[in-house]
Amino acid sequence: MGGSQNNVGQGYELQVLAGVILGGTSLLGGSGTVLKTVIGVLILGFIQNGLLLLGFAYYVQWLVTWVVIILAVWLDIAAKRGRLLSPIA
Amino acid sequence: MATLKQNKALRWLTENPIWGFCALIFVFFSLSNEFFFDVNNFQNILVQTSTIGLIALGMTLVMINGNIDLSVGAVVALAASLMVDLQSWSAFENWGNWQMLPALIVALAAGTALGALNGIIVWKTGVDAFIVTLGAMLGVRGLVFVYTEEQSFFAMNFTFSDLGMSSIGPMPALAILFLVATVLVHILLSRTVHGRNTYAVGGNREAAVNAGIRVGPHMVVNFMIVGFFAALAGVTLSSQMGASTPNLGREYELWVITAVVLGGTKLAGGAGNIIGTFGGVLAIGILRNGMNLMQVPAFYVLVIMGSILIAVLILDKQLTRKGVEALRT
Repeated sequence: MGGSQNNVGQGYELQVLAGVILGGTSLLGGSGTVLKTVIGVLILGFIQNGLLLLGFAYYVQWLVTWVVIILAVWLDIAAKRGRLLSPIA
Repeated sequence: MATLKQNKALRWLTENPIWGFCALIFVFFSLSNEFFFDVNNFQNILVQTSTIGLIALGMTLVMINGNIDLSVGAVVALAASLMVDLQSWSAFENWGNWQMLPALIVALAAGTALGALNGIIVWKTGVDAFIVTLGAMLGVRGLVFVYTEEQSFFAMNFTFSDLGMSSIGPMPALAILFLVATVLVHILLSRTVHGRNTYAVGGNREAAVNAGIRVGPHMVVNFMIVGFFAALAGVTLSSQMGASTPNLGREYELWVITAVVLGGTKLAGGAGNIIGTFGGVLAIGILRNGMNLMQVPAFYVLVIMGSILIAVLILDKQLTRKGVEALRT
């Protein structure tokens, strides 16, 4: 940007977390690799860039990120426990 | 007898240390600033904190459950936009002031429905509430932008903004709304089966399941409560301004969680109460108001609030560790 503002990076926490989680790192710790994180960040980057190129408004990518994050973590957990839905009554 | 009473008060204070902190900063600002100790200013503080306070009531339930809801800020914006936009629809043109009613119902229903959606996803998929609501925080903000198309709305009916400024007797209406809601949620948490279950689920989920509590639907109800309160906060906030912007309520989740944690609710769940949360909300309100009156620049306020939160968490950790050691020996 060749400059800086006092609110640069506001809201980046979420984007960063989303990328790391998408890469398969557990919030509880104990799993995850840097390479997978790179892939996670790239996936989010592709989605955001692709949506913009398709002509959607920039805020549509937030909606898609919502669905992608939850689906990714859900499928990961489902694969680990061997069933799709949580056993909690 | 006198010592017993003193001990009781002291014990209460050690259980709710935030009220000691509240008293401390209250005295400090009263002495250091001539404008602080004033009934009008107290009403001001209550109105200013009512937005965060309302959400904090619901958030306390969710956090005692061991969950968290990061999407409340976006729900505030959605409810505010719906409330202000719907009441100016031409379908309700001839309804007079009643045109606010369908808008209010839709706004509150939208917040409750999004809470239910979060809760059902947490229940059915087993994904951590932090991730689910983190996604919803982005997604619901997206919904707001899709709905508003990045436009701000202004209420054409001035009765709406008058309602936000109105008083019942000497008390501002929004302050009364906040206090009544506080009492209701306190009763819900401390005197009903649902409240008892809330602690049980947060304390030990396995044990709660074995005790026959339907943990999933229970969590959904709590998510619906916090969604409802977030929407209500959106409505009151928009009525204070008579307008709504799609960026409304950004970072509210952080203020709300700060207030709840200051009030002694554990992030891991199982502990906390509404009296503490009310103290936490008041502490934040008094600090922001007092520092404003002392003309501390807004960015110093953020630094100070952050430092206080970290200090409280460290102190809390130390106290809990001591308690656990005392139990062992």
